[in-house]
Amino acid sequence: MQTGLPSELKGVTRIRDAVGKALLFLGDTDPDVVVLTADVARSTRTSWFADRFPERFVNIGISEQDMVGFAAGLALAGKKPYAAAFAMFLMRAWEQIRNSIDRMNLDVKLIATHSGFSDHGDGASHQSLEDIALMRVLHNMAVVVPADPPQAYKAVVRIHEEVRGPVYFRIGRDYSPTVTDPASDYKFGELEILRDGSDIAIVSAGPLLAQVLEATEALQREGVDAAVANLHTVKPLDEQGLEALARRTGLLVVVEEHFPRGGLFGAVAEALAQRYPVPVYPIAAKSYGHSARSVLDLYREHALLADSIASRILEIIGRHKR
Amino acid sequence: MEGGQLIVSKLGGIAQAGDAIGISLSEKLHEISLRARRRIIRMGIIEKSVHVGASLSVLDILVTLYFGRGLRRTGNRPTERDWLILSKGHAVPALYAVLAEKGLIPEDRLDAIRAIDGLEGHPDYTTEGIDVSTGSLGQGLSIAAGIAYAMRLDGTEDRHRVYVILGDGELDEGQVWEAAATVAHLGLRSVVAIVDVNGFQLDGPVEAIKTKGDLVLRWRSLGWSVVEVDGHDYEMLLSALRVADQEKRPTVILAYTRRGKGLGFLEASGGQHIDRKHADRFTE
Repeated sequence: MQTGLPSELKGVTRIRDAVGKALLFLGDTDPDVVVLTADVARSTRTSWFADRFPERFVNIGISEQDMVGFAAGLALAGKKPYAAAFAMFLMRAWEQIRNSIDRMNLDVKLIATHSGFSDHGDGASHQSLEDIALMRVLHNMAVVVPADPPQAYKAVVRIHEEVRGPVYFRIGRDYSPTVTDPASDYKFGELEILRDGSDIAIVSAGPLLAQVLEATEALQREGVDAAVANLHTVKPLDEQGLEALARRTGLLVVVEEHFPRGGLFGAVAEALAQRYPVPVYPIAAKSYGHSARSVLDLYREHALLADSIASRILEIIGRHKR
Repeated sequence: MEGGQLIVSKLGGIAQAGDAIGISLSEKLHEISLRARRRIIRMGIIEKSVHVGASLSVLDILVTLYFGRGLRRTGNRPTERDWLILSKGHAVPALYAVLAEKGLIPEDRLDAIRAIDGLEGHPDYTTEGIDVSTGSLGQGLSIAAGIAYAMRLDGTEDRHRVYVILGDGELDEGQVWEAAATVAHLGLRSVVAIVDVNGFQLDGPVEAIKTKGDLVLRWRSLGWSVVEVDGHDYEMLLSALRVADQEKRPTVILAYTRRGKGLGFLEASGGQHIDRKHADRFTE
C-alpha cells in the first residue's frame, strides 16, 4: 500500500508530472495497467509510461472518441486502462464515455489534464470550464480533483487499489502549489479540512485552494474565521462532511475554476438543499477564458486571486452575518 | 442463393471461391434462418417499434457466425474467447432470434421485447449471450480494437477473433473511421469487421442521405483487407471468415444484403417496421 509522499516525488512541483509518476508506479506494480493517449503523450507525461512500458501504451492519435471506446474494450477484456487527454477534448467524447464506459460501469480511468484555466496560453478553445458538470452527472463515474502534486500522486495510486469502476481525474497543468500535508493519507470520498473556522466555510478544489488559503489570512485580519475544505472527491460527494460544515458555519462559499453551473457549486448546493439548507455562493469563472501568459493573469481577470476572493467573501458575510 | 457467385477480392488472389460447405450444413443454416426470421417478424408484430428490416438483413450473417463458423466462447479469461459486438444495435432482434436458437434466451422471452420487464431494445451486456452494450451508432469498432489489443497483450490474438457488425448507414459516424485507422495502424488482425450493406439508413437510401464513397477503397486505403460477399449466402460468408482467419491484417467483410430480406413487401419498400396488419402475409 502506497501512502505518504514517495521519494520519487521529491522536487515535483507540477501536478501533471505527479500523475505521470503515479502511472509509472502503477505500471511497475500492476501488469494489467494499459495507458492510452490521444497525441498528447508528452503534454500529459504519459510519454514516461510509454518509454518504460512500450507494449502497454497506445497512442490512439487525435481521436478522443476512439480512445474512449478502445479503453472500454480493454476494460471489458480484463485490463485496467488509463486514458489521458486534455480535459477539454475528452469532453468531445462525452457520449462515448456515457454509452461505452459508464453504462457498463467499466473500470476505465480518465486522466483529464490541462483543466480549468491551466492551459493559459492556448486560450478558450483549450480551457475546460464545464467538465466537472458533464462528468458528475454520469451515473457511475467518480470525479476527483486533486489539490496538488502529492495529492494527485496519492489519489491515482490509492484509487487504483480501491475503486473498480470509471473515474474522472481532473488535473491541471503546472501551477499547483502544495496545500495538503504531503505525509497524510489520501481518503477517497472524504472532504479534507485544510483550515478550521466558524464564520464561513469555503469549499474549493485543485490549484485554487492556494488562493483560498491565502484569502483566509486577509479575512482573519478582518475578524472573519473561515474554514477551508478541499473537495478533492466531487463524486461520490461527502454529504455528511458538507452538512457538518453547514451546521458549524451557517454559510458556504464555493470557489472553483469552472463555470458556476453544475460544478462544485452545483454539487454542494444540491446536497445541502436536501440535508441542511444554508446560503451557498459561487465564486467561479465569469465567462470563457482567453490566452494569457500566466494562469494567474486569468485568475486575476476572473476575480479568483486571493484578494478578490477575500473581498467577495466579506460582501457575502456582510449580507448575512453583520 | 445466387449460384455461381464468387467472393470478389480486390486484393488479388487471397480470397478463393467459397469451398463447398455441403448440403447438410447449408440446409441446417437455412432452417435455422427460417425459424429465426419467424421470431424476428413475431417480435415486430408484438412491438411495432422493432427494427424488422435491419434485423432481417443482418440475420444470415449472425446465423453463419453462430452456427456455421461456431464462435469459440469457452475460455476462462476474457481474452481466451471470441467476441461479437453488434454495433448496429437496433438489429438486436436478429441476435435474440439466434440466441433463442442456441437456447440462451427462452422462446417466450422474445415476446417481451421492449417491455418494461423484458428484453432491451438495444443490446445490453446484462442479457445472457450479449458481450457488449451498444445502441449508440459508431462505437463498436473502437471497443473491438481495445479487446483485440488486450488479446495481443495476453498472447491470444492468433487464436481468437473479435467480430463487430456495422451497418452501412452507421459508416456516417466519424468514430468508425477513427477506429478503422487505429485497428489498421496497430495491425490488429483479430478484428473482423462485417458491414451489413443493406443500402438503407433511417431516413432513406444511404446514397440519398450521405454518400458513402467506394467502400472497398475507403477501407483498403487505411490498410484493411477487404472481402465482398453476398450477405445472404452462407457459403460465401464462411469463406470470407476463413479469409479473415488467414489474413495477417484486419479484415472487413462487406456483406451486401437486402433490408427486410424474406418479407417481400418490406424488402421492396426498404422499410423498417411492420405491424399487425401484415401478420397474414407470412404466417402461412
